Amino acid sequence: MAYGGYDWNRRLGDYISSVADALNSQNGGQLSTLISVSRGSYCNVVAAGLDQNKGQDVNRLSRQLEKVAPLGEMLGQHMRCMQYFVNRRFVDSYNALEKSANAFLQEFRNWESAWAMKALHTVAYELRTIAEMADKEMASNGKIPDKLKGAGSFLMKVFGALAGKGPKRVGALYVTCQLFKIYFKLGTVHLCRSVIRSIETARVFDFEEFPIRDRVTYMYYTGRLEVFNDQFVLADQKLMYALVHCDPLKKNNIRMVLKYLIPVKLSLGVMPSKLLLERYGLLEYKEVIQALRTGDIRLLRQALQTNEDQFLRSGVYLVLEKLELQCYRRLMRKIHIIQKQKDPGRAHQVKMDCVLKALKWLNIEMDIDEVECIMAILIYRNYIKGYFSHKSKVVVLSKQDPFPALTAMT
Amino acid sequence: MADTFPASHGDMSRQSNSHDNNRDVPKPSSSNNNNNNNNNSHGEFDSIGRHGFMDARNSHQQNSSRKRNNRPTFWQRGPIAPSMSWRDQSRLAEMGSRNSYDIPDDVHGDAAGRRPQSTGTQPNAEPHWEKGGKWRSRSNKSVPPVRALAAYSDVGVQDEGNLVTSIVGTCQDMCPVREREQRQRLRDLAIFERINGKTDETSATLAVKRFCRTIAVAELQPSDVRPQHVLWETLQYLLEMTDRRDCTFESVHAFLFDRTRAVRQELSMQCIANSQAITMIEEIVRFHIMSERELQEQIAGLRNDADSQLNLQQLSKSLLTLLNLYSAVEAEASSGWAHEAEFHGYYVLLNLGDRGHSKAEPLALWFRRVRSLVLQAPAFMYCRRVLRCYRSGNYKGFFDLAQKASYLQGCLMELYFGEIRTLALRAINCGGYKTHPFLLGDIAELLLMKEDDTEEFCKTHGLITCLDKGQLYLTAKQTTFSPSIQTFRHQCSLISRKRAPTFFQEIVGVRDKN
Repeated sequence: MAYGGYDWNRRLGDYISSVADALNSQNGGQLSTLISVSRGSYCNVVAAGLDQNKGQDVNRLSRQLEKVAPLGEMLGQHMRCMQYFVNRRFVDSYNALEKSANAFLQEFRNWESAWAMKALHTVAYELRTIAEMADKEMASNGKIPDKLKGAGSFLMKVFGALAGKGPKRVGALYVTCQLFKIYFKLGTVHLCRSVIRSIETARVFDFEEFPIRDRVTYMYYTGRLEVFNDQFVLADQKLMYALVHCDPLKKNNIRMVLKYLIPVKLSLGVMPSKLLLERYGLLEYKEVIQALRTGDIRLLRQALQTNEDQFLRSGVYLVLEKLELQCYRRLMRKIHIIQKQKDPGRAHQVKMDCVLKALKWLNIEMDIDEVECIMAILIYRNYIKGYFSHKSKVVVLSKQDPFPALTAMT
Repeated sequence: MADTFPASHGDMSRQSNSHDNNRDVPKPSSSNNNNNNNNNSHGEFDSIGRHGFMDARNSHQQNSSRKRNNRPTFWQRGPIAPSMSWRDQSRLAEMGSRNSYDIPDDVHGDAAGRRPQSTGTQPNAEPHWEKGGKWRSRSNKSVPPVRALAAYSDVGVQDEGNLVTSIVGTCQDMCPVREREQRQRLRDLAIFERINGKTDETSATLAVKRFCRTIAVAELQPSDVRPQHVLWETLQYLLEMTDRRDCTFESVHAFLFDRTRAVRQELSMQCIANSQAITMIEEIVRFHIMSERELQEQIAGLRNDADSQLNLQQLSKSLLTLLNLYSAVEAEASSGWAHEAEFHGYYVLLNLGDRGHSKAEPLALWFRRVRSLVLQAPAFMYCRRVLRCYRSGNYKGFFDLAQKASYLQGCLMELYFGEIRTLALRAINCGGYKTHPFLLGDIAELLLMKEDDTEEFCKTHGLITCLDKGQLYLTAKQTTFSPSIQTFRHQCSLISRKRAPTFFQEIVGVRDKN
């Protein structure tokens, strides 16, 4: 054996004793550290100890595990999980983990206080993480990956255990966020709905009571869901909440929020500064913003095409496509300004032909009917105030506030 | 079942020789995976020493087939070895070192002892598999490619009574003899299956197997299931029926709807995943798209919306299966499957009005998974442009693109015509100049409608037209606009004209060499 005869058995015994200590003193933090798998430091100890122990003294191990009653069953499975994990057998590791988690949950339900919440959260985290690894392993072996889906169902049970009245409910949001991560990864985002309903409508929860980290994560995911539904005002509220409450030192998290917040803000007519883009490495939006500022539809289309892969992968491509209408609005505004300089009296009348010429100059092929259609839509959607005449092919802008602020319309 | 795991004993001895420890390893209980997994009654401690669980490096005695799969050669070969190809019907797939019966191994009971829903495949000592002796040896050799399983299982196909099994069918007719005789007895024959209209006589050339929602695996015999080449012939026969003039399209559609569903069911039951299966499902999808429109044309206004719902439901199910198959099966040409972009495009068109409320994945997330090869293809780019116009409300662009659509693309786009036309009317009514009424003929041209239809369309939206010098006009800024409740049934002749001379040609198109 590669471990050079070190007495892993004793260290394993020590490990089990520490768990017993944590259990007896109701120290959730310590327990959580001890049972951490993918981020933990005890896996090697446990794995080596089990290896050395194998079969030689079954009773000894059972006796040791008695120390941690009633978590004996849980710890037994959990140690197995750690052993598999060290040996990179993730599917087996996940299966053991699920059994351990189930045993833990049963005991957790019996405890009055929420002292073990941190440990439960660790279990939830490990379930998701190891399930992801297990799925990868299954896929590479040509099997249908289903562990992550299983982790999702299991975590719903955990959520159910926490969602009642009492001190345990504070931990529900963390589990919710783990569920969101799973659903987003699987693409089954419609399953988020029931959890959201529980959190947002149940009178049991006061949102501000949850720990701030969980609130930020929650708002990030629900904000993204609003983006999928084209609800930009709601998305703005939620993502802004996440941004404002996010720890300023966690640059990566801020970047993730911004990645989705920027398109939302753009849809509402708010442009981020170049400094912001540079600081958080979001330069893919630079050209998009420039196109919007100048009304350059050609540049917008180019920018979308250049960064197509990136935008598609993050799921904001469709939102950015919609910005084209805003670009047209900007173009109209520019024409209006130029005309005002030349002839202020008749500036509010814009010939559609003029727009056509401008578009042609941008190498965009369009016929007059399509220009008229765009004008009609701009008016209908309140990007522009005014009316158009089909007969004379003219757009007449309102003399007062022809370009209402974008935030005025939803 | 000793012949199923011939190698395992050999492996065992090899392995135990190479290890130092002389633990007392219990013999593998050959077929009892179940027992070993259900540890719950004993508590976990009992299993720790006894089954050698402690040493993860050693083979798992519980499961010799898993051990076999842990051989390094398996990993090196990758999930689908070339010998597993089903394209060559004459060459049976080798068993190789992969035993797809392994899949249920991972199907442990959860800690509460509940087993997940059975996929219908029982690997070992299930008595009914022992029965049909003549095909038992077959089942050892014909191992379904596992990726195919993934493709078919993904789509929620299971809730339709579609099972995934390892049966290989042997029925050589379009309808298994058992069913044919039973239905003859019960006089349960469709019009197309009857000889001379007699309700109790049919023949092997007329009867086609029906779709069955609930299938008991225990009673299923290979003579009830049609193998791939029979399914192919059956499908060709069915599709040729679409051009029959001696009966209404509605009746043909109802018959085909059911029978093609049975074909799909058998494809998935046997886990057939190869280029011919893909072609078959492609043709079925085209049939659904085409029939959706044809049905509306034939019974304008009278058609039950429930029929439409059902057809669309089957359309999306088969389309999803098809898209899964594209990624599950390796294409022969380096440029991928010939029609992959076409069908990805249909998916986009079908989900134009994608809202997060439905159970489907939001389009934004779905796009993440589309391969770049497909993204760049012209057919798919076209559908993306349609999506862009739809989402911006650019009705002119939308109808311009509709004019350039292929027939089937037009069929799908037509589902949204009513919505877009309403939007156009709204926009025109909202932004038009009051004293410059819109010439109705222009609106009609814009929205690809006949002028009379346009007038009627305006009426159903509460808008009035006025006559001036013999031409109809629509005045803007009418306050009586109200969204129309009834769906507009008139078909767009432009799209009708795009159709190929026969339905069969439209569905089958230019056949690739199979």
